[in-house]
Amino acid sequence: MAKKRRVMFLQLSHLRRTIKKSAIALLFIMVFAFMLLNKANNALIEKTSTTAGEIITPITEILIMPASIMLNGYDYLRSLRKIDEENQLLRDENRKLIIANAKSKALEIENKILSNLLNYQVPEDASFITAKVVAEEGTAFSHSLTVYIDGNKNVAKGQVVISDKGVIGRIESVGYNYAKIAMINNINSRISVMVESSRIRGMLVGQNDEWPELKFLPLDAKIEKGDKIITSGIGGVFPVGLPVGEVASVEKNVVKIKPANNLSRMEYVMIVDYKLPDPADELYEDFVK
Amino acid sequence: MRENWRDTLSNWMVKSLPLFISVLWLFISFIPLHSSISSNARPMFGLLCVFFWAVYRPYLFGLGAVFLLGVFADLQSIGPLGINLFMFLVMYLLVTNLSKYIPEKTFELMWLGLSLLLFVVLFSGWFLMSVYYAQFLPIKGLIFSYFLSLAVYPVVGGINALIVNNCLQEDN
Repeated sequence: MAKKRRVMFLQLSHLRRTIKKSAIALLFIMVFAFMLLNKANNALIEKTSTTAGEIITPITEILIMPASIMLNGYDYLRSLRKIDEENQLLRDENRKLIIANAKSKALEIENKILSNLLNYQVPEDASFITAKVVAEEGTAFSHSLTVYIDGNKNVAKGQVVISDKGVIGRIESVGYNYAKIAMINNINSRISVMVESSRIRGMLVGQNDEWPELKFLPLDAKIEKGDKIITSGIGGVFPVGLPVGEVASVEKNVVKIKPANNLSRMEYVMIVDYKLPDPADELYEDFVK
Repeated sequence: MRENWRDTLSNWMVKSLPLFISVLWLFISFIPLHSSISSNARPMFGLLCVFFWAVYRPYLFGLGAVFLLGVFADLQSIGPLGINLFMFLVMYLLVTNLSKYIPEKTFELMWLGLSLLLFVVLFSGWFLMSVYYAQFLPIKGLIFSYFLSLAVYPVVGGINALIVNNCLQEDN
């Protein structure tokens, strides 16, 4: 007769059976523990997630390469058809830009003189890097981009991500070679914005939808379709005046904003460090003092 | 001795094939497709794979595989860690408990079953996310994702079935 193996006072087979029976319950408990730790911004979870992302993302990049090449080829062929039209548009734009450039130089000099008169403290120059989009996440639960940052150490969580047309989102997590961007339509995205013409302030809130919503507006705010939305600079992350989008619809106090960028067509993005002082840090320093 | 080693390796490879194929499907869901549809709702490839393998080869796709696939999906996403794992576990739990009552697993019947289970799973995921963010998440993207997942199931199921027929026959 086979001898039954024992661990302390328990039979091994009995222990195995118990673990097997309760495994699914244990895994559910683990899920809730993960989510609770995530909600509490646990550093260990964040670090583990970033490190694992660093391993997984290069594999993703390699595996999706054939599909990306095919898609880029298709886009290129499509763009060839419009090349003449685009060329003409660019020439017209270039003419306008030459005039605008001359005007802006004059304004820059005027601005310097006036700043000196007012003793205005000019903020430090922003620095940026351009990063290639390698993966995209667009599900009912989250909207993000993964970009290749080539080991750049200046990229940090919270930095602003823009394209040529305006704000795209914010850096959510940074690894060694890759960074994840939470887009402005992601559910936990909050950006302090204002209406360009009326300077009415509000909060741009992501809805995991194509278009984010403008919330926390004053009760008497008059918002109209087509109004341009820019960053308000409140909160210290974004500088004032970055274009965000325009009002797409106003229905029953729900103001939908159409982003300035086509968020589904991002190939390259700019990660900008505006070197703005973090108000939270300043408050903390004051508190310590 | 050498044959034993080879057998062990090939056994291990066969056992991990469903997980490996599912991970490949997950990768597909992160391809930048430059389209407004794909950047707002995509098929839930992970859930489709959990459903397929739990129905047709449950002994090759156990809780360990579901856990690994779920964690993998969560690490690729910026959503809260655990949400994909939760949905995969719910799907696995439902399929393993209900599939024994279905005598014949025809494709049409399974597709119908998926349409019911996917609804329950996505809704439970939506509910958990709404609790996590303390607000009701918009449902439009979820519904779109649901129909998109149902529409691509024949493709995912068909390719997975090809793998089953060629590499994972039960008499092998």
